[in-house]
Amino acid sequence: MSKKISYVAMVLTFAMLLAGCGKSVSALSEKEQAETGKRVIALSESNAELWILAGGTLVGTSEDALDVEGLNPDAQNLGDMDHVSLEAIAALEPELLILFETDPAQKALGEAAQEIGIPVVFTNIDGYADYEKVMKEFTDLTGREDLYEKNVVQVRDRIDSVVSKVPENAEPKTYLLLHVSATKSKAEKNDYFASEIFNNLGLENIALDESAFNELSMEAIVTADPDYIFVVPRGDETKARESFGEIFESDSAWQSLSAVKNGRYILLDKDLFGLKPNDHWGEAYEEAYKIVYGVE
Amino acid sequence: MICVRDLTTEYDWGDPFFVKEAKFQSGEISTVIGRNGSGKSTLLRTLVGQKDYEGSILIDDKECRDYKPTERARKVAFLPQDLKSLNIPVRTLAEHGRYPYHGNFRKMTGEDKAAVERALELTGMDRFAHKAINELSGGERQRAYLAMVIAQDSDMILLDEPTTYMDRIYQDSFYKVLRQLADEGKGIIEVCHDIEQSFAYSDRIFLMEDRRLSFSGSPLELAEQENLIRKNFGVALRRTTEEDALYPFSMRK
Amino acid sequence: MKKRAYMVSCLILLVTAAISLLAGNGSVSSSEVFDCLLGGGTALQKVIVFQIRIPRIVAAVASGAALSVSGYLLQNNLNNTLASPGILGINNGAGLFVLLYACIFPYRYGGKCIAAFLGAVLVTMAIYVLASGTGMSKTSVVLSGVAISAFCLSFIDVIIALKPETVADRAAFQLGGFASLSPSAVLFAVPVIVPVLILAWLFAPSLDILVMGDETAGALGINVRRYRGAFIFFAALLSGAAVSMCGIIGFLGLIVPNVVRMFYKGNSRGGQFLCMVSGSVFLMICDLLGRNLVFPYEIPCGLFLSIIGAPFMVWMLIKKRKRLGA
Repeated sequence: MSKKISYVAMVLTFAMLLAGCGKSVSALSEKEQAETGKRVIALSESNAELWILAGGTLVGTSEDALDVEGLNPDAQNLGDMDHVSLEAIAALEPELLILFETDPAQKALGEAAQEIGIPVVFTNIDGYADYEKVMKEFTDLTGREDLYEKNVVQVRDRIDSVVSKVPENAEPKTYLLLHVSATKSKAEKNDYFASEIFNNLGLENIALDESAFNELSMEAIVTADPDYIFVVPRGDETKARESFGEIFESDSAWQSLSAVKNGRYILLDKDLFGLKPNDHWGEAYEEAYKIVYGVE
Repeated sequence: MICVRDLTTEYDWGDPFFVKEAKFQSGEISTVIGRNGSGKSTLLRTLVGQKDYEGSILIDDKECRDYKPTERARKVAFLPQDLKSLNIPVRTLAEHGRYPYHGNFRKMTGEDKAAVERALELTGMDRFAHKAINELSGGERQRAYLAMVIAQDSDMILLDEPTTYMDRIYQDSFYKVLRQLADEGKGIIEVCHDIEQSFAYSDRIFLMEDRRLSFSGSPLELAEQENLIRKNFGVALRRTTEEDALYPFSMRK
Repeated sequence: MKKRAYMVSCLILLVTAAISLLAGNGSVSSSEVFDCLLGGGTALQKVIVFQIRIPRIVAAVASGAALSVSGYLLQNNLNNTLASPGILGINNGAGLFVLLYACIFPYRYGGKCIAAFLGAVLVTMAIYVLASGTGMSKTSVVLSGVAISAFCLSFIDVIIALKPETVADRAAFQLGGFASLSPSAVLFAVPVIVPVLILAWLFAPSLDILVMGDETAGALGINVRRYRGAFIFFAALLSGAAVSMCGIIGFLGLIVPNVVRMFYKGNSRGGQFLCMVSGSVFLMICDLLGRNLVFPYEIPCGLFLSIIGAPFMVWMLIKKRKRLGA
């Protein structure tokens, strides 16, 4: 009996190995695949968008990405981005799986997928340069250089034209960037992509320190007295807009800040400053410029 | 004085339990004896108002359930078997006995303090007054709690197996204290398993049997009921006439 | 407890508060704090001293006292030295209500403290109802606490699973501290804490009686159920108010009463007072370190206490085991 089982197991393992080999081989001839339409799964809204911007189509994606512009309607919904089953992925026979590098659940999923022979690309976009790099990689895979031109080169030109307008030798203004959830607010440091935008526009983040701790001291905020306070909501934006301002108006310490006194606390657009803007990176710069310098 | 008539109550697990008539006199030591589970502890707890009952328990001519808790505590004191090991000095424990008098808000009066000192002296715990309860041996702890109950200065004192952990010398002095209290007019009701000892020190004995009170009378009267004794304790009790006998009654095969 | 001991502990409290107020961390120096107190100082310095630092110290004193006394009341009431506000599900109750509140009124931080307080008190009421239906014994109180607490916790998980954006950072939510303290929360919580502390202190003699167990306590003329319920309610009000101000600070209610009991053997009046003072001092020191060690950032007090608390609990268990001779 046990002999029989081990025999079956051996055959199964062998079959699985063969299947795995088959896929990784087919992933090699990229040019060929691009023409026939690669079978790709991207989990998360941001990853799906990147692949679509590079001219690809998806066989499957996570629930949050279902209303991404340009998504082919036959893409299958694989559910929550952190709880996708490997079996559901394997069933779609993907030739490429696009995941987040920094999301522990996705990282684990990716490693498991690699073990059964599914090729995986991990993305990690902390700033505009990362976006360019990933788009280069993806458009190379899809062979759509025209889209690289449109979604990257032209975006870069827009950014450059905004940055070139920044007055030189001006006294640098300071800002505090708060990421607020329904229960808590957190000061973002310079590793946040929106901080990069404001820094490039000649502003200075008061949360400079590369400390391992995240909670900025209220005394430090009051002492630094930033010129601007930017607020990025997490979650429901309309509700954030409704109750916006209460955070500052209900607390006397916040009221003492000149940014609050001068009305320079600004709720930022979540699509541009809360999620990676991708091809709208240029718009994010233009919007930020308008906020800081008042003109287009 | 506590008078019980047609009392029906329950064990914690719900079985009924009956006492037709019993009178616990002031100035006497009454001992309740009986086998395990015969209802001795339940009876004591009912007498201090910790269990619902039917029938009548008169404490100084007033129904037990009609007393306010603090008022009843000034009439009846009770020392259960389970004595908690506490992180407080013996004197503080004895002072807790005065709670029914000063409650939460009144300060200790001179009378309170005198009662505490006397209780500590009587029990010989004045030597340990500053020692914490959780640093005492089992027998010492029982004496410390006894000091608390004496400080409570109630007319009736109910004790549930108070000498379990005491050595012989402590037990002897313990019964001397009880006698002294009885002579001052207090009524003592004690649950005890040592029949030789209880027959020696008691004025009246109550035998619990099969969920009811089956006998009450003087030690001599009970000792004459040989069948009853043998049934409940597996031995016989004889009056001894030897001069060096420790107790007036001794166990025989 | 002697009068002198009361005086000395008050003095220690005052000295710690003074150090906490004066300790400069790059924003306002000690001499500048003095200037402010004497009516001088710049507008900025005044804001820092009067609107940030003093409310924080007040909050640390109040919640330190509240949590410690709450733990002391529960430990004596339930005759279990390992009891603390957490076992009554107060933390989870408060956490659940803050989350529910955030789902309904997101971004309105002002009402958070009231939600936390209501959560703590309502959960305790639920425990009380459940426990009194099952005899109000010490075991039934503890078991009801465990049951209701687990219920809240699973509810919290459900909310987080459905609306992950509600709690961006779950760890930060559970590690309480004073970094984002709003003065309005102090104005809400302190008027709850102070009278309850006084009430609990006044009723201390009956707590002394209660600790002796139901039978002894009943024989000394106490309505055991009523008083046990009252002290649980006091404990819930205290820790609920503290949680509403500073979030979940675990272990304080466990550690402080046990340390006090190690050095002080006496009645509850003194015990409660010492818990108040040492809880306040302890939390002030944690807060002082937390806001100065990594300035301009902060280490939440809750983190300090978790680091100290877990080993302390292990040590307590070992000590208890030894004493039982097992």
